Amino acid sequence: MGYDMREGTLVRWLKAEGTEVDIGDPVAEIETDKAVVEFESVAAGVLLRRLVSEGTTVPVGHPLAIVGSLDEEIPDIEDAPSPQENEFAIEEPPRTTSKAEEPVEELPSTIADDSETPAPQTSVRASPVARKLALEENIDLNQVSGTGPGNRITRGDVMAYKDSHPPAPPAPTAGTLPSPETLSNEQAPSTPPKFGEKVLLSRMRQQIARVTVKSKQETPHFYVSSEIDMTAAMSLRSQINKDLEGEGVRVTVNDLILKACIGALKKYPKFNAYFDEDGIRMNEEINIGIAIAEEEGLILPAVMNSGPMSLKELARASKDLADRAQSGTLHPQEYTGGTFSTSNLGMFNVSSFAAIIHPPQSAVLAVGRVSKKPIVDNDEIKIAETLTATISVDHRVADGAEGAQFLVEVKRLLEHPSFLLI
Amino acid sequence: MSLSTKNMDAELAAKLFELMCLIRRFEEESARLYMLGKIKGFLHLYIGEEAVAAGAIPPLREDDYIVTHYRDHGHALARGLKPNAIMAELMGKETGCSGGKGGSMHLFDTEKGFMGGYAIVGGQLPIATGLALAIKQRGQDQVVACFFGDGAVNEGEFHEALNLAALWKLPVLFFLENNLYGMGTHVERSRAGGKDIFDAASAYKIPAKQINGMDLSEVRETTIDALNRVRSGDGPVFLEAICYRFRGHSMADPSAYRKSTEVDEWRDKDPLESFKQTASQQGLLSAEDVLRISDSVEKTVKEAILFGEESARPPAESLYEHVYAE
Amino acid sequence: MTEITLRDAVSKGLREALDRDDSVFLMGEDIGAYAGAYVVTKGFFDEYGPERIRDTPISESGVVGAAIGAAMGGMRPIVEIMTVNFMLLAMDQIVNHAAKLRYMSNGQITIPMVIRTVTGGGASLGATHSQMFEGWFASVPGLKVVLPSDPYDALGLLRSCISDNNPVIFSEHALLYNITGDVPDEEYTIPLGKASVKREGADVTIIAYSRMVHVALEAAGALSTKGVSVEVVDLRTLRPLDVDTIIESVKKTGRAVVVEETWKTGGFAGEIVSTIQERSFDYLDGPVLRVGGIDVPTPYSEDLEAAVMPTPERIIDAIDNGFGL
Repeated sequence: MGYDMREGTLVRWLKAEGTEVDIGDPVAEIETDKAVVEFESVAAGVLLRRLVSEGTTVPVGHPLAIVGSLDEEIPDIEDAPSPQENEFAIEEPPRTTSKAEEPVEELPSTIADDSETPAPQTSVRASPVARKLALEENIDLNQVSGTGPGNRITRGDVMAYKDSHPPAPPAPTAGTLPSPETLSNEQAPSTPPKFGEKVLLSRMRQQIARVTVKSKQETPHFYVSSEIDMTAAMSLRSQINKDLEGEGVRVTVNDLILKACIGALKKYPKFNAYFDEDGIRMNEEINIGIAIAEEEGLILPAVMNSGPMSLKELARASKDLADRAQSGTLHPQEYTGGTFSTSNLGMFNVSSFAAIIHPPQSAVLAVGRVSKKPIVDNDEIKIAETLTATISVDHRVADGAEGAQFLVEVKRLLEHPSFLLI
Repeated sequence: MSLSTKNMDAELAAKLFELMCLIRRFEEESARLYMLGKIKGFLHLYIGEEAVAAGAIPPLREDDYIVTHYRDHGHALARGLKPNAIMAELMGKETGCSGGKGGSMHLFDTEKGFMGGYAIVGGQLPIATGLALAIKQRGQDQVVACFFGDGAVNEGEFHEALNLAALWKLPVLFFLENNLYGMGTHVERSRAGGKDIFDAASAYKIPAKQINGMDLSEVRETTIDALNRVRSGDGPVFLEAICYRFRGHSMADPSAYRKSTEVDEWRDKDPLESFKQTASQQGLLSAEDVLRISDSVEKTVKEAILFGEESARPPAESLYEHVYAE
Repeated sequence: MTEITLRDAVSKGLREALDRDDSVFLMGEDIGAYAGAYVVTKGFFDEYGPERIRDTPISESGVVGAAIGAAMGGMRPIVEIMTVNFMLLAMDQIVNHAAKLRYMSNGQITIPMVIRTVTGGGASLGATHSQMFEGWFASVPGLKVVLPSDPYDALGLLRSCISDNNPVIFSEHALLYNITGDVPDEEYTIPLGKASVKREGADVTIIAYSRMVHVALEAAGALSTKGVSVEVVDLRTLRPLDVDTIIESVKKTGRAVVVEETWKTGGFAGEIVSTIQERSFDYLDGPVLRVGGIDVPTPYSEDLEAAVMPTPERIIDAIDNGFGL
């Protein structure tokens, strides 16, 4: 349910025991530290047993229910989650019991029968040549993702790992999200994990885990949300893009949000600061960070010194940043130098969410999708294009009222977008 | 019992008697060595059948071929293979006639035209036919003498070989040693046609004759006639020698399937004793000859045993030799 | 270069041998007046006469035994056994005698004999006429087992077989007689025990022999469109087996599939798989796979028979499932 979530409360069951569920069907409501969300089934079959009662808070990874066929025996599941084994929130019974009902993917007769059995979790499944190569190259196979059948690590996987991991890499610090020197070409697993399987942490995931745990442990987050009418901004955007046609640059919704944030940061520099033991330090420049989801995980590079940039320059710079993130040619300081961040899940059709602050920054703005909604304007209902923005703020740096002021400034700039051009 | 000594002078009588004695003593000593564990595997003794080998093989020409079965010591000795080399072979020594790789059932000496003892019953008949085919293809006048037992005549290979040899008029002497038992099964219990097996040859229009295999002279004279006929190019001839082995099928055979009285009856027809009597009566063999022959045979067999015992086992590297020809 | 069929290549090799060496002669069922069940010896009977093109009765054991004897007697017989299925009738002669006589006689006996036979299924001949037993014979020391897959190999290998001083089984696949290929006009031979890389590749090695080489090549062609580069090794002789070429290829690709027309259980493919894992375990990037005939007697009806045979599709599936390629 997201890398920044450790536990959640099961608020309400949406499906009774004995009901059929399909993959994607909502089965329960889970309250996170941000919202109540519907939890979707990750397995198809009959919901045989609920393992968690309403109101219980459980760690991420704890099995919530067993889905299978009516005639199968339900294995004993201990209440206390075992962090090693329970990677998925809905547990399928072990293969031995599910075989009768579920067409287990049968390997053809050309393969020895025992290759169907998953390798013991304690050992790595790797081909002989992959093992030999790993030994020669001093590579820990636990760090390598397998792309062969049954996620077997192949020679190619080890070679790819070796290429992306030059010998003796500098040990990454816990302070920042992954940077290109260490992680930019992390080998991505090409097959989705199977139920019951343990997915080994890539270095990027380890880094993300360290950073977000540090943030949530050390930084007291609070959250302020606001709905923003984007109608005017959207219209301005299409006008600008028409004018920019042929210049090789387009302004995105996110660019407008970045520009509005920069405007608000200029007015409220506390949000472009960081907390230190002896005071709150204002940064000299605005390096605005943009969360980019890559296959293996999140990166958060920044457009350096974005304060003086025009909207057009910002649009060009953010596009350039995204391109270079893709090609793995970002500069190290672009990874570590952000002073405020934005995270946009609009492309995933999300209405709203809250983000984790990236230390040592003091705030992050999270925005959802732009969608048409009926709003009341001067006592009239009209259709507007809106988005919901949520700012997460380090309470040590600012209080709720200040957070609200900042967000209202962002809202003002976006709802009166001509300010963005001045 | 009195036998003939037709066309035989004293020298030949002594020579053939000595051969029979050699075979007898060689086999008796082999049995002893087997009990001592110096000879391994299967050991099939020729005792009782000496007149067949001693009668049939000496008339062969030097360039003729012999192909035989696994009870082959007698044939090998009759063909002139060195007793030393045969005994060394039985003992699994590198000086053996098959280099220690063949054993009792697989004696070879191609220089003497002794093309082998064959241990798969009936398997040697098509091969003998093929040797005769080679002779015919080259237009030569050698003969192949093919020995087999009554057990072989119920194998398909027997009939296939007889058919091919007759069809192609090949120079084969098919020599059946009918000792009445295929292992422990009497011929009358194994063959629909009864014990007169030579009848089978008539199915292929092969001239055939049954003879007394205990009578050296009869075996010899019949074989000489048969060889002449075969060598003339008219195709194979079939001889059936009725004989008897005094010992079991092999050293492992307790002979429970036949009565001791039956064995005794046949022992009374012992080919050595009966030939000695006949030849002595006819003045071809003196008491001194018999003593001299006895001494000579003892010496030869003792020497063979000594040779075998003193010879080395085949070296390890010979394991891979001769699987293939270059 | 002349383009000829595999049938003509065999025919040419036999003629050459008959022309050059008086000790060479042919024998077999209906090879003479009938010209051969598969018409390989057409015209021979009139040209070389009934002594050198010797028609035999249907008498496999007798005929093979006679060939062994003739070879022992200094001839160089070439026997045709109409199909490999009938060789079971001559098993005693082939396995107990031909393969053993040289060794048992400590090198005194030499058997320069070729048994030509027709092998394989795929022609709706039912269970008794659609088999391949070369793997069995290949397990016997003393024999050599040769299976050409194209006219060039057929001629080059046959020349070596006829000049070899050992019993050699030369198996011609019934469905390959009419395939054509270029054969050099100048003399050449192919040594026994040398496999041929029929297609080079980097990702997977397919090891096959006889008709399965063509099936493997078809699979390789289809896989190349998927971006999978397949090397096809044609064993050509099962005994002596060219282990080095197999291992060299598998070390390069890291993946191997052995394809065999006959039954998978107890097949010769298992021997090769075993050798590969013994000799190149640390180079393997996946399990060594087998694609073989289905373990049933070959059925007569066309669709059923087709289901028994290894196909390019089955090879492709095996590679997909086994290696994720």
